[in-house]
Amino acid sequence: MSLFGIQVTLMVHVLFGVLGILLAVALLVYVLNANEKNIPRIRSLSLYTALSMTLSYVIGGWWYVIYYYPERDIIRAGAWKWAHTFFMEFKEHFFFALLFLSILLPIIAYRNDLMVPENRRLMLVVTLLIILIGLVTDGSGAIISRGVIVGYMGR
Amino acid sequence: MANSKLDKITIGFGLSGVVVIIFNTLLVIFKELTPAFKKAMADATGHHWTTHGVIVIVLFIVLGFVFSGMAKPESWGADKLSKTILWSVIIAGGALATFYLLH
Repeated sequence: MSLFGIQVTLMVHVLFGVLGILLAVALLVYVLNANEKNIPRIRSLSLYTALSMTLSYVIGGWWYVIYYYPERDIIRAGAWKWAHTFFMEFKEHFFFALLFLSILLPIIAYRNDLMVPENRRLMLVVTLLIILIGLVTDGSGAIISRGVIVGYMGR
Repeated sequence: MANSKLDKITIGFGLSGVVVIIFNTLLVIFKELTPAFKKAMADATGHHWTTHGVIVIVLFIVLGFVFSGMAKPESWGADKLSKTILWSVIIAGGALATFYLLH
């Protein structure tokens, strides 16, 4: 793949991750204001969040396995080697929690009565965790990108 | 009348998520402390992280269906499941961050 293609692939991974976070925020608002009329929207948003996060995982995972090694070596040789040794290592593994919670979201939404307060609270907890883990992994990705720049600057 | 009980598949996959999120952290710690195991994981699919992903995803799906079959809605309310999921993420995330800070 061309250098342009590799960079675009990485940006698409980030775009789906950010989109997943935004969809989860929208979902949170709808769940906080749940009524009979917006239950279909809550259900579709939960599905779109899961799809977006899954696409982010598949695209990002493919990029990581195939194209990350040269960048990893640059980061590790630079002043910000912890961008890899802590942030990438943490992000690549903690993302699985985000993936499983995202898959759980539509299961809760489609298979339970969301007019029951306890069920809505479960939806809220899972959605909030998705937003928080999403922000942590997104921020980690930004630090990893800066780690590459810092690595180049030290050459 | 509203159905306040959680459905069995929700309980099953919720509990599967709890178990696999914790297992995911334990697998990370074990493979990082056991180079031979990490190499075997890498040899299996070409990259240790790919093998790691296959293991936890397959486990999540299998345990999800197993726990769904065993689930008793009267024993697992939504609030109890919410707290269990929340604590599993806090413990697994905290342990993972601590491990990589010290490793």
